[in-house]
Amino acid sequence: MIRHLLKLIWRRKAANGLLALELLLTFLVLFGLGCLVAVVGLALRQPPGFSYEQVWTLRLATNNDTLPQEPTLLRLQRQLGQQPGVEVVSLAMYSTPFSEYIMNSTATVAGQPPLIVAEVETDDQFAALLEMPLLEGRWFDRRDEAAGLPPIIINREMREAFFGNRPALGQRIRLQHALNENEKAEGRVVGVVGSYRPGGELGPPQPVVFRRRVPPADGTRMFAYTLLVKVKPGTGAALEQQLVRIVTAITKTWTVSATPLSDSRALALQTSLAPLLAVGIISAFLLLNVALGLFGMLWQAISQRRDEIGLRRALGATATDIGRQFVVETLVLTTLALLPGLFIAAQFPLLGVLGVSTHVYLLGMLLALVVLYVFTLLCTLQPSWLAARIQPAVALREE
Amino acid sequence: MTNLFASATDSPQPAAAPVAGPGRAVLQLTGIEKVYQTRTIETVALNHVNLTIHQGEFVSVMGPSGCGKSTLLSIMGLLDEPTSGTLELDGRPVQSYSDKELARLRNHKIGFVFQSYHLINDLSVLDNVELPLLYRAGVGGKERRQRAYAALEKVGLGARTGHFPSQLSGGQRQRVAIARALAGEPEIILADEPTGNLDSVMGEEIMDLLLTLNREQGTTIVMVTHDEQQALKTQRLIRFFDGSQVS
Repeated sequence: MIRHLLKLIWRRKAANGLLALELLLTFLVLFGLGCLVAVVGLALRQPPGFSYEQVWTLRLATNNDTLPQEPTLLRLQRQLGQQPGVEVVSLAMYSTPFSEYIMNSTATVAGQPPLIVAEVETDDQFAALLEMPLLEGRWFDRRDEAAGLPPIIINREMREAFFGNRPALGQRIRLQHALNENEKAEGRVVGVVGSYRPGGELGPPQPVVFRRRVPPADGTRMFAYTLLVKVKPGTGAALEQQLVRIVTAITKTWTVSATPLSDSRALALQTSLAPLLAVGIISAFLLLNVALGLFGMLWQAISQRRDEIGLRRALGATATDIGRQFVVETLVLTTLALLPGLFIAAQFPLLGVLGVSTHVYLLGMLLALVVLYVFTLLCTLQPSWLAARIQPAVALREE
Repeated sequence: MTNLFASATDSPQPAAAPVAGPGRAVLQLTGIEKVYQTRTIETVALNHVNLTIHQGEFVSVMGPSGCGKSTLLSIMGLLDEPTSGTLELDGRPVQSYSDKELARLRNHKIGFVFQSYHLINDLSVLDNVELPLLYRAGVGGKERRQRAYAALEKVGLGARTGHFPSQLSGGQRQRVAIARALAGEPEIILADEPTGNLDSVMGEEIMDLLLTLNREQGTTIVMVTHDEQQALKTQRLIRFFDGSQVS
């Protein structure tokens, strides 16, 4: 029967061609959407490498004040940490989780090609506050004040890229600001943390290096600082107002804004999911077009092929056979349209373009196939049911 | 392979098959009524028809347009249900049969020939003839093709298997339709004005073909026709008027 239907489809190729093209385009868009969904789905299954619950971000703008900033920051950290409801306070400079500010540096290790890494300057409380898992060594502490070489901590991705199976602790790493050649630093690895993705679950896994930055006593002036505050469960707006009041009282001229890290995460997710939403909307429109095309084609086919339906019934087809024929015909047409689509989609993993894993492409293909087949089937059911209900005696009498 | 078409046309005077006494009843219609009802009009297409068709008979049905001939054929062919009355096929009433059972009976026992051929233009002659066998369980592709070839040989179109209906004359198309009916090796052929769309020469060819089929293969044929001359060549002529059998 499939061969019989293939002959019919081939002979009606002019009528079927446009719909097949539409199905092909829809498959390709759905494949893109499927890949995005796969990327997002796989990313969401991996933890970001830190905990964002009960953590607030206090963004401080120094507003060009002339006061020494270091004592102010130390006093702030101390005062805020003493508030009931506050567990830990960490000075995180500017590269906090979900922040748009990421400083990139070029890291080099003797005998290894340089690597672009994200650089985070922070203090001794950062890892504990964000509950970051420590894989090797330790986090920053007061012992580092006497260290000859500044301590640095790297994440899993950076460790794998530079050291593989070799020991990482004690290794020297040079850092050079990606945009400013004069800004250089060198440090010794004292610890390795797990995968830390500052962009959150949807952020790409990337090599990250952490540098110790307690409030500097060198008179450096910054336009802004960020404090992370871990609060106890159940605390709310009252504590937030209290913290803002303390900042205002201590800093006088600085301005402050407080945001829960969970809100920043929601915003980051929203931003990351926007392309997915856009492709989703395009896919929905394409699917709507395919639906209209399928409905139109099937309605036309049924009205033009009434005598064929009557004839087939006369020759021994049951009503179910007729309905099934239209469903199978459409599914065969869909399959024919998908073959070049699958060929095109297969080129992505074969050629290794876009640097996405084969797993993602396979999931994208599978998702696109399932959605298109299910959708085609749903669009075909009603017209096919109508075809099955045509009375053969009536259909054969019509000319 | 017997070429029914050749043997029919080679015969100078295709006479009606000799009547050798009635065989068993293959179709028995008792008190058949068919009423088409709309919201405002009730149309009686068949009015209390009692009719028996015996095995091996060639029966023609005549009557003016709208007298119920085609409705009768549809009911005999299990394509339509009577409003009342009983239809027996091979001695078994078919009223209680399911759609699947009726489809199976149509496929195995009945062959249809229509005035307008009802060929599928997108299929080749061979594929058109294979069509009834597609719905028959247990018949593979090879056997289907063999039987379709054989049926086309019988009607003298063995050389036209790859052609499409649009490439054939009206007479050839009707011969394809007859080959399609023959491919399923049915006991009964129901022909609804098979020569209605053909000129007289073509019409004669088709009529000779049906007569030869009936005579040589013993196929039971019920033919609706408007042509008195052709009707007279059959073993029995039934006349209808306003839904009733008048002779």
